[in-house]
Amino acid sequence: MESAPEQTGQLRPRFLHAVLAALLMSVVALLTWFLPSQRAQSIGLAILIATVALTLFCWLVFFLTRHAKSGVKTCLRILAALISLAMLLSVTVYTLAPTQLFYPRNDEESAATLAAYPNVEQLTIETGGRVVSGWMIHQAEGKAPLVLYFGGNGEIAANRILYLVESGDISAFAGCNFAFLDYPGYGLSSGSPGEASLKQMGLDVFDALSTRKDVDADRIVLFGFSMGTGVANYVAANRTAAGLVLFAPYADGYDLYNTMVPVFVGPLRALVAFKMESIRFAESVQVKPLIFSSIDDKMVPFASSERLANAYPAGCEFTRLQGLGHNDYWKSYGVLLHVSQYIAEVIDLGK
Amino acid sequence: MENKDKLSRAGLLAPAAAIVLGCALVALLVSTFMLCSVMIQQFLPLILFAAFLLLAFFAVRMRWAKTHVWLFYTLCAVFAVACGFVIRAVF
Repeated sequence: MESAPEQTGQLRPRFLHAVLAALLMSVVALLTWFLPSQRAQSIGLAILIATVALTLFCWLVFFLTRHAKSGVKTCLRILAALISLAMLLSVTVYTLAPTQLFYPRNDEESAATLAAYPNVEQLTIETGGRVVSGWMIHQAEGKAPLVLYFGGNGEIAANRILYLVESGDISAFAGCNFAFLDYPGYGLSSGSPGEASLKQMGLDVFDALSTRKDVDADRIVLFGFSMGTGVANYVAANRTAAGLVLFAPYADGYDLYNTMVPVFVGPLRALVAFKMESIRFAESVQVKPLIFSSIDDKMVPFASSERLANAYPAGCEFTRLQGLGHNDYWKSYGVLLHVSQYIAEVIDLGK
Repeated sequence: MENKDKLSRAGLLAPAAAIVLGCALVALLVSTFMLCSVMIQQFLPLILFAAFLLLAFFAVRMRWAKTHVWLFYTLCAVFAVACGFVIRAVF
């Protein structure tokens, strides 16, 4: 009977030690799993740094208030826990969300098949230590107009180019060469995808292709789909293009994030790492773009495309589609016909 | 007096670390939920915590764990790193 209170008194610190040890082991084991992984490395690193910094912060707060009253100490511990949770979740969301936007991969099979086509050329552009790789379909002799395509987050150049060649849809761009280069981390391109690297890649590609002998620099049409519409808009705002075609464009990255989880409003907008404010780039675009957006697109909200469409100083040709899902734009004959007519008009194929 | 102050400083590290590590585990749980598609991987932070808690509860009963606290936590970290490599090899 006498030993009962003593046992209870020993059990509590023993349990707390066990909890601390279990927490330490769980976090260390998970970080060991995360850190060598290519996809989760940045998340693991961010959580590790935040954990060390917040432990020091909490310890400092507890140390400075060690002589305070018990009630104050309890309040401080609750506050420290809330701040730590908010900070760690913020860091996690900031680093985690971009990994949900990009799917870097390679398709060697499509690349091998493409290499056999005589009018298809593999491109490798090297600038400032960065390597951008992709493909170009030649459809015209000499200095010809070029359609420069920026694909969606799941697209890679070899795959799309092979589809265009095999399906015959490349005929929608008759009289023009067609180029699609992979985003950083995609295909054989170096680096990792992110807002800054995508913007840089867009400008590098435009500059490199416009100096080629087989490209008429005055007749380059920028073409973007989904994620690529942000890059196409950015390049159109910073370089002189003959035209701009956009499939499922978004006004900014906030809209894309809110499609996944609709919480990025007010101060939580600071957690958006991929801002890609197309609506701001649109203010500097000189050409009149051709825009397609479907009300049945679940990935890029129609309202976001509409908001962007209203931002071009020269106005735009906005086509509202119905019954087309996010990946159906390329499959629509009517859409491709419209694109073909627009391109023929802006590059003046008759000249 | 100086020794007592040192002990007090070290003693305050445990609650600070417990709070932050708990929050880090929540953050890791969110990450596994978003990154993984297999349910066992999604719940891995909770599974690991439950398993390690059971293990640690028996480990802290040992005499040396009470007398050499820092050594105990260092061994815990080393063991966890080894577990991390096993998890990486499995998934």
